[in-house]
Amino acid sequence: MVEFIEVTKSYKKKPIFVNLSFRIVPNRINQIVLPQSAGKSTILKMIYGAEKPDSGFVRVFDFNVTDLNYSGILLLRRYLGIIFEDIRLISNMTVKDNLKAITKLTKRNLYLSEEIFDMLSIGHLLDKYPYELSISEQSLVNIARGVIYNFPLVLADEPLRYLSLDYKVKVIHLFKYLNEKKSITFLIAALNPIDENFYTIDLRYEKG
Amino acid sequence: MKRDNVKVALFFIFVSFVLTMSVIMGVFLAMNSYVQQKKSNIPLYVFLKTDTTQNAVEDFVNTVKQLNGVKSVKLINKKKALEQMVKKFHIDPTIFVNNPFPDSLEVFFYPNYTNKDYFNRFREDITSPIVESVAYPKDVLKEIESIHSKVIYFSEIVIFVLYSVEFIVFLSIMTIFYSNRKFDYDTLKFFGIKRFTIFRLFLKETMLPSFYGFIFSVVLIFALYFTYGSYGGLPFMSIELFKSVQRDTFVVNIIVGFGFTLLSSILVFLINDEKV
Repeated sequence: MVEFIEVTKSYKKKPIFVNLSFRIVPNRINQIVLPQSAGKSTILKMIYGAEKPDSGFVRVFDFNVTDLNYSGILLLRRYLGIIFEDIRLISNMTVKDNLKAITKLTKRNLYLSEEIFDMLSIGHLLDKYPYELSISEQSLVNIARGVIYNFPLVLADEPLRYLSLDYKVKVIHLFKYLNEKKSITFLIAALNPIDENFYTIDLRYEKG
Repeated sequence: MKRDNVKVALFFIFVSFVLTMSVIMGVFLAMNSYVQQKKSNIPLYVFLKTDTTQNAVEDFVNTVKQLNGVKSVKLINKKKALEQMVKKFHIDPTIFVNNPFPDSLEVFFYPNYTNKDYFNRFREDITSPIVESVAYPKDVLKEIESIHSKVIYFSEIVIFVLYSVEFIVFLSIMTIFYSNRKFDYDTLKFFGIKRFTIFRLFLKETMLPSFYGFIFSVVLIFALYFTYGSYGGLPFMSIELFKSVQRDTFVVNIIVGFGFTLLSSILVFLINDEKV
């Protein structure tokens, strides 16, 4: 589903990874555990085509992302759920509009699983704007937006960062539920291992 | 919803653009109209032969009235001319055995025809046997033509500079607008939303404040009409002229305002937006 083959990536001429290789396990919750500023977000960005590797291959759903053109990248992104580290809710849309923006703007008739509202206790926030929410509430909406359409692969960049312990438990429970019941594959980037049942990816690379 | 300051700024820029440009262009048009009015008060004199009969004079007046560019024709008959001179210079009328004046015409033209070239052509075209000579005040006409062309030149320069400055203002506010939304637009791209869809979204966001600005400007213009109609009235700018020039310039500037909004939105989007 996602495979990195000898990927080298540098930022401002400073290498982050040299010859990074790994493969995620389909239908499981995968976690990448790396320290602060070690390139977690860069790995995820290379998967959804926001960053390009300097060399090597990034394979997602049998596509080599580095070979995809503009339309190909947009098409790929339509099958990915993304939970951003920096939340990224659309500022002038309500929570409901944020969640529905993907269907509305791509004119796709996607199934919106409303059970997620209950599981994350965000049903009462639907008519509010992002600026009216606390950072943890915004984070929950960001998580909901990433998983609400049951896309086959969800990329999550430090999804629990802004959450209190009880919400962390809820989110982990949600991820497990979606993985077991709907066979959604997760790739989570985190500073520390999140759950012992998650598959921790063995990253093989030479340090920059 | 939280107040969106960039939209508020765009709204006021649109309103101030329409009003400022309409008023300035209105003033220039009024100045132009005033100079043209002065210009068309310059007559061309047609002196007739002294032995011309009254019927021939009347026929000739009617012919001249039909000619291209003629606004009005004033007949000054020889008796009236003598009376005017006697009155003006306090001369004893009995000293004249015969009336020395011929019948003459003062021909007034529309402003576009009140110029040296047309007057000369007109003089050559009048071939009636009853015409003795044709004359016009060359220096006055030259002077007023020069003033008119300077007024037009000055107006064009000022309006060109103002439009250029306004367009730069529109470009600047659009750049701020786009920067303000860039984070949101990038997020939408991460969900596979096409650039064109995002452009439409941007355009909708920029055109809407301009549309509200247009509505607000209409209200302001009507208030201005009412105020000027009730209390205003510059000596050389009648209420009718004020309303007519304001209406024309207002319509032009609404169209230009929307054009600037659209063009600056497209330019800013093309320059700043990244593909993926």
